[in-house]
Amino acid sequence: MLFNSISFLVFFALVVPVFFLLRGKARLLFLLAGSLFFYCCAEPKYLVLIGFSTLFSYFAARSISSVKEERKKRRIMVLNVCVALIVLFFFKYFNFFNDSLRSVFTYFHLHYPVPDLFNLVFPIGISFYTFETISYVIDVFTGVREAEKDLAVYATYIAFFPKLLAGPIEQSTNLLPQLNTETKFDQDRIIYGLTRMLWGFFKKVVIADRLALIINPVFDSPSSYHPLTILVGCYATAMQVYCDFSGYSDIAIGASKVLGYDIVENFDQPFLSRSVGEFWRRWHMSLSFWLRDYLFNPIVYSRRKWGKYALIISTFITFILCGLWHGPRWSFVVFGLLQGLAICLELMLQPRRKKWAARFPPFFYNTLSMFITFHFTVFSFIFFRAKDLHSSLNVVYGLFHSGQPAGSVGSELSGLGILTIVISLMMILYMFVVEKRLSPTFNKLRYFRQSIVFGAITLSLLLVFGYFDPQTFIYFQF
Amino acid sequence: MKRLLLYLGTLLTVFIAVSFIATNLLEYGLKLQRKDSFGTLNHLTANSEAHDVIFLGSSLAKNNLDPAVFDSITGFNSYNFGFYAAKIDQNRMILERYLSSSHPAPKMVVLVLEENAVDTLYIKFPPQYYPYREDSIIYNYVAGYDKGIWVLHYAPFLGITQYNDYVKKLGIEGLFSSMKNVNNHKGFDPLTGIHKMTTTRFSDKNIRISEKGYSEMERICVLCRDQNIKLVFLVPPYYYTRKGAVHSGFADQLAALRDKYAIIIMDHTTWPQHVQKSLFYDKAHLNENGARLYTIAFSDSIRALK
Repeated sequence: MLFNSISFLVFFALVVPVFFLLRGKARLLFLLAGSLFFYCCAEPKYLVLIGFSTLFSYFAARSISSVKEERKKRRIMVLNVCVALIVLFFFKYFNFFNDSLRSVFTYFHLHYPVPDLFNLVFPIGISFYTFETISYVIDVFTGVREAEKDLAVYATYIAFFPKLLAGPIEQSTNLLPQLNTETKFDQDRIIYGLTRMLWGFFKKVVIADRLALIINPVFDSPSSYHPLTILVGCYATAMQVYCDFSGYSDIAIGASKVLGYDIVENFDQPFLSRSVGEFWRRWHMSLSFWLRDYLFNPIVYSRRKWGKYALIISTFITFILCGLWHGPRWSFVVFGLLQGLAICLELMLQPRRKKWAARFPPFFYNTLSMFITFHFTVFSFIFFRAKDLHSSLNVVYGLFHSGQPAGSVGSELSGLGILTIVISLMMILYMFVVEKRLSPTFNKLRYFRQSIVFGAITLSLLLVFGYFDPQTFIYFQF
Repeated sequence: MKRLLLYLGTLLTVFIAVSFIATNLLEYGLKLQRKDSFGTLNHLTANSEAHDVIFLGSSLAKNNLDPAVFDSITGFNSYNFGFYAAKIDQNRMILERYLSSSHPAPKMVVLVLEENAVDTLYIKFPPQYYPYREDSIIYNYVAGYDKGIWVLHYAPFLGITQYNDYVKKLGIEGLFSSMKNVNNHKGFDPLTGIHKMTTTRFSDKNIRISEKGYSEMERICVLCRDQNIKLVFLVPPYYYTRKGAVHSGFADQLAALRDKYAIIIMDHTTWPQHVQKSLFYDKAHLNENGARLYTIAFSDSIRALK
């Protein structure tokens, strides 16, 4: 069930009133049943998998809190992390590594006897809920929180439908305590949530899906396009990925708000970042913070004697794994490597950058930093968006070598393509202008009036400029 | 609760009002359009011009037969009602709609046939019919395949969500530019250049007309017989990669219809010029020059019938 489908709107319209009509345990169980139904609509056969992950992590955490010996606690925690990662590896990465090894063996004319595991259909959401189960058990082990006693509460936390398929990745300290308390019917919250959902639909249907019309042919066959057209495609890719995923996150956050829950924010205008490090504090924040808390910091801490090198090594490890988290493709590894490289460079140049910042006017320095960061991001997204490493290298090659005679720029785009670009640019401008105005900090009456005006304008633009051929969300593949 | 209801009420009103206005404007523009399939459908539904000959079929009719050339040779007034990816039931629907409208019955119907149009039946792009959903013949045909038209029948304001950018562009064009001087080539859509020429051979599988396809063909035969219209089944030329003429199973079924309804069958699969690459846009469609030359040859065949 896609968020941008009629079936989801019907599902949500049925779930919300029933949810508020029920009380206590019945409400929680209804939310759990609704979430599982939602998952079933996407991937019924992998319900067993999410059930296994939930039960295993639940009992692991319970065992950790019941045993007193530190060593045993650690063993249980490590066992849980290993099992979760093995499951993730088996379903997501086995065929990828197997294929890669086979290629190496074949290259050296050696026999490679291990067959692929069979055509595994990738379980939607596995990367997201696996990380949530891991962080929960680690939090219980480190004493950040108590083990949840109520299995229904914990299962709802893992399967909570707004964030089940593509995040945000919740850490146990935020959503889990909220599920233990009964949310109240708050019309202002609901209005805010619905407006936020509408905003997410707008980003997805009007901008991301429309930009895909330009991007797909360029990335499928870069050699047929002029370098400038490919460049337009690269800029469009950055916007598409942002609008697609942040649109999804807006719908998820809005749907949670309607139900009375606050889930974590995932984006904070990342394209205004002045460094790659800042970019990752504003882009897919739930993943960045998860990686920081459960991977980067522990590595730096355990290797603190190495000083600066510990930072560099853990940055590289974190970003290679971050790239690989997105999918079993070498292009994602390169994407992660590029990010790691850029952040290490920023670390090493930090003293000089401070000097430059002092030497130039702040506006000039900040704008230049933003410009450089944005263009680095656009470049690295080629590896993110292309279907494999070979295709991404073709796009990079196409940027510098014209496959078309000089002067033919834009001629590959039909009148409709130009119109698509113009509409997209107008909508992107509208998006940047209003993005900040969604803040829930406005006073209620003023916010209510703004919600109505903003909602009416956005809905009208959505209807007039929307591309209504339901496209799946990019982050579903992760 | 009051604020929430006001919010929901406002958004619902905006939703219905914007969709209603946009849908109606768009569909009004589409009904003024003279190009593309909308131009042909508008000619079909809102015009009463008398035609001596009408061409039915898929892209093989739309791209291969030029009514202007045909008319200049035969002295007839013809119109090309070919539609991209049209199947035999769509051809039947077009004929039925034509005969039920204010157009006088033609003297001749030329049905351009290909095996693909008579085996599996479906509609390639149902939204092209949505603006004409009030027409019972069109509605019944589309409703057999597509639920969208049913939804629009009861919630017509949702139309704006059903049309893609290309249709929207045609609608806006219809609204804001004068269509009086647009040459719609009497339904003919000329293709320029040589595009996707491949050397892939056509399947040698012995395709037969499906049961439903056969029954639709019989309905066309009956419609023509009842109105005393001469019916010609035309198999158009293919680039030389195709082996021989029509498949034997298909040919046998056509022969059975010919014997039963006195139809004329013209198999031009191996038209003498079908080996000339420069006349084809791809392996099945003629380009503009090819269409002109072929229409001359086809017109001569029709003139010979006189």
